[in-house]
Amino acid sequence: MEKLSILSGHLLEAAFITYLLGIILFTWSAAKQRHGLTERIAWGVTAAGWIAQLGFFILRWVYSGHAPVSNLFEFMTFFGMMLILVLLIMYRFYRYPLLAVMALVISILIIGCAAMFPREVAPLVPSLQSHWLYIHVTTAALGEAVLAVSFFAGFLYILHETDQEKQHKRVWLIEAIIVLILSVAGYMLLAISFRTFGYTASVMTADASIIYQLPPVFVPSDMVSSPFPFGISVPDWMRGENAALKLNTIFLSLLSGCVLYILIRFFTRKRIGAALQPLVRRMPKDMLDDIGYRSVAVGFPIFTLGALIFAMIWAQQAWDRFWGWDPKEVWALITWLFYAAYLHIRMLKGWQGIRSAWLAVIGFCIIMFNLLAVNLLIVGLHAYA
Amino acid sequence: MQKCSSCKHENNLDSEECQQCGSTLKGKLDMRYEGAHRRSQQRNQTLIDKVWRFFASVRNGMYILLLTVLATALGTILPQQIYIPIGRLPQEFYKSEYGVFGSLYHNLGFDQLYSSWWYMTLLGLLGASILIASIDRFFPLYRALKLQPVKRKEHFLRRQLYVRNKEISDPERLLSHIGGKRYRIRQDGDTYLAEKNRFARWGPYVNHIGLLLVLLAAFLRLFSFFYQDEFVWIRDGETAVVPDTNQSLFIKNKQFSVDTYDVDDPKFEAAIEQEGRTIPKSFSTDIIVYEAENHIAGDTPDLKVLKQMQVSVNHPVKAAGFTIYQSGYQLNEFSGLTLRAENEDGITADFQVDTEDPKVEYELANGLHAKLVDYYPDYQLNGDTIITATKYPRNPAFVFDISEGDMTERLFISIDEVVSETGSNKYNIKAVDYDTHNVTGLSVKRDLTLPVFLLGGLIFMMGLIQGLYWQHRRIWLHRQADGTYLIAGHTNKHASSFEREMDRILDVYDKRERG
Ligand code: HEM
Repeated sequence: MEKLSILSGHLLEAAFITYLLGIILFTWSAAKQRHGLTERIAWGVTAAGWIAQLGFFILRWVYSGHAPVSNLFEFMTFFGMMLILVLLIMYRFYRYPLLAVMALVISILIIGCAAMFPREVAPLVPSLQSHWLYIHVTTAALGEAVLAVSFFAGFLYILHETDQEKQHKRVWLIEAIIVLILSVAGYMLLAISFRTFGYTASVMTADASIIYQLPPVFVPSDMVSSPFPFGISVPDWMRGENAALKLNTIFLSLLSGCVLYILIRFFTRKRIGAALQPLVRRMPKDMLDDIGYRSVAVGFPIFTLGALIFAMIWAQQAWDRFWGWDPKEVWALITWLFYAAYLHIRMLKGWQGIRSAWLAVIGFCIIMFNLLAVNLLIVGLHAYA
Repeated sequence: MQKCSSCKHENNLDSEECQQCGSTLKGKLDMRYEGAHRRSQQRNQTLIDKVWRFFASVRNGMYILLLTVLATALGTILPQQIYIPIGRLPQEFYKSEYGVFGSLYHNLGFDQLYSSWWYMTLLGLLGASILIASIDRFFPLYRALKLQPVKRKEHFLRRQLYVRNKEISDPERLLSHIGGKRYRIRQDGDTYLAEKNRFARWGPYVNHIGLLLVLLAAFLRLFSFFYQDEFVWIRDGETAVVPDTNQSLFIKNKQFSVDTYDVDDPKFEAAIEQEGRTIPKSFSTDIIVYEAENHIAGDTPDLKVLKQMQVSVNHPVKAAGFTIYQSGYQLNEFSGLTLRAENEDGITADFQVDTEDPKVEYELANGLHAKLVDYYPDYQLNGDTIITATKYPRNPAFVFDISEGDMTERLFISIDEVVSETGSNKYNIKAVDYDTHNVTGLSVKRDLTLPVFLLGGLIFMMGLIQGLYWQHRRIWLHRQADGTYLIAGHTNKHASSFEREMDRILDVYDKRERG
């Protein structure tokens, strides 16, 4: 049995590496004027990676005795897997390698971040022992993955439509989104390197000791001692649970994102948006706009069913109330209301195209916020919080 | 309706030139409501018209919706009051945890945002908007689609999304091919109209009805006839009456049990170690539900056994029209405490204090007299003041006046400490023994709104799928004066896949023609 668990871990690593290969192949295929063989190989490689991840999922299920969607690590890897599944299916209808690249990049970042959370197989507390939990979580993740496609299409649309010759807000907003994505990558790289060297720093406060996995640049205002000499004490009003630790993680992620950004700029010698634009330019923009809307049209019902209806059925059984205004629930509601607004606003004159694309970007930010930030910044009663 | 681009006059969809200024109407037609005339577009403006017009506008509806989104998000910045630790006073909690911002948040009522009058008002406005916008559009649209003619004016067709001129020698064959794509075909002379999935147009209205049902269900919950929510704590072996049932429903807790995961299970070892304590596997209570037979106020009623069963987390049970959920527990609550008091000569005497219902006066064997001044069943220090976090004896503490003759000393006693409040230290008192029991927390609910919520959700889902997974498509075949055909196509969404379908249909026709 023990072997099963180890094998399952290796399969996830294999999937991760295969997805990386998929990114390279799809990018290559996008750069070539005509796609054909490379594109098919890229699809096949990605599919192989997905099969490996499916293997990880099934083995972990067999080993732990419950569907592995019950803590943050498991949920995030599952979400990454759904993104790839949606990509593989969508690619049969819309063969645009850049969409695939976007999906793979985001999926890899999510799976990479997932690995930073505790990976042990955990037993289920009574409230989580319900089939409705599995049904709810898997459907919600699938819905979010379909909705994410509107972000991929929207982001490409924005890249396509933005005049990089002029300096205006939009150009810099694109760069800001890229820095954000790079920050996630930066966080992953930082966390992996410090973990490899076994780094931890324990900061003592008046009544507790806080273990940092990264150098403690920001420390609580009531710090007594820290192994890191350049600590900045957070303002007195930041007293929430582990506020300094969280600020520290966010700061270091953004910092590493900026460093990565500058490094890339050093090689490209122009704004990253401008460097990417030639790749995107050949895509038909009306098609991108259509794909964006279509993915919301398809994803919205799935999301509603999974994240709201199934969630409520489960909550009613487990906690005797189907709705409890828990932060994770509330942000699912916000996501839902926002995409409802997207569907309506698109009907208004002048809101198709670039404005819809921006809405899709905001929508995806809300999904990501609910996936990561609510767990890290706002404490709720969800198992993953 | 279509608006004239030069004078803003509203014209019929069929018009070729503006009826007011005579300029030619150009561009693609906005077919969203088939040009039907809607009440909100009326000119005469009574107050009711204005209100109607306000709520019928999608733009205004979206302002309300986005405002709701912002308000909803605002409530997650700090924890809502229901989630703050038990026993903390809100005023004090928000101030000490989050400083000035926390105080402000609490004082503005954002810590109970979702039950605030203005949040409810927002939801009400949203409902009004959904209702009125839907009525305003549905009936005109329904009529327009039902009465739509097969023959349309040429300039109407030319201003559709998909327009082709084509020589067609065998229209029957093209039509049968179109029919193969599940279009239904109607004919009027030389003109054909192929149409499919019109039902998709009703999707939004169906889903809005579902939403309104959900809002209605939420409103019904405010009435106790539809929604009753009780909670009882019952000690092992004891029977309790369910509140607000007119003394008619009783539940006995035969045995509450907790099961935990095996710490040595190699599978879960690592996770349990990380958690730092054992992880529960199940909480369950064996209960007996009784109905009171002939109860007269003040009398002990005769209890008739209704049902015996086991309730556990995720497995609620039903009895007497209520659903019973395992929703809380307390291990090792104190049922009684034995205190030992020592007088000035060092002679001790023991006495029992019932934590549920403590006596006030105690005469002790060594001549001391104890008088209970204050009792904190679940004591906690809150800054400098002593409070009780709950009314359950989880951490009992007492203030006693111990006296002998006219000598009195005031003592504070908890499980593990004694403080002399008068500072005289003449007498000593301490807890030497205690009895404990387990308590189960059962939530007893009757919720007639659940079916309404479920029905609303179901109708909503149906409407969503109906409106979003199908598209209403139409193809007009119009024979022109020169014998060629004008082909026009309309879809209510996803233009590019419709264009693909049309191109393919015409391609196939062309290939057959040639080959
Ligand atoms: C939570 C709130 C709401 C949800 C979930 C919702 C859902 C939907 C959905 C899914 C559609 C179909 C959209 C599409 O086909 O792209 C739709 C259409 C529509 N909604 Fe809503 N809606 C909501 C609130 C509102 C409000 C407040 C209004 C008021 C103005 C409104 C008015 C409309 C109208 C006019 C349509 C178009 C109907 C048609 O195409 O004939 N909705 N709604």
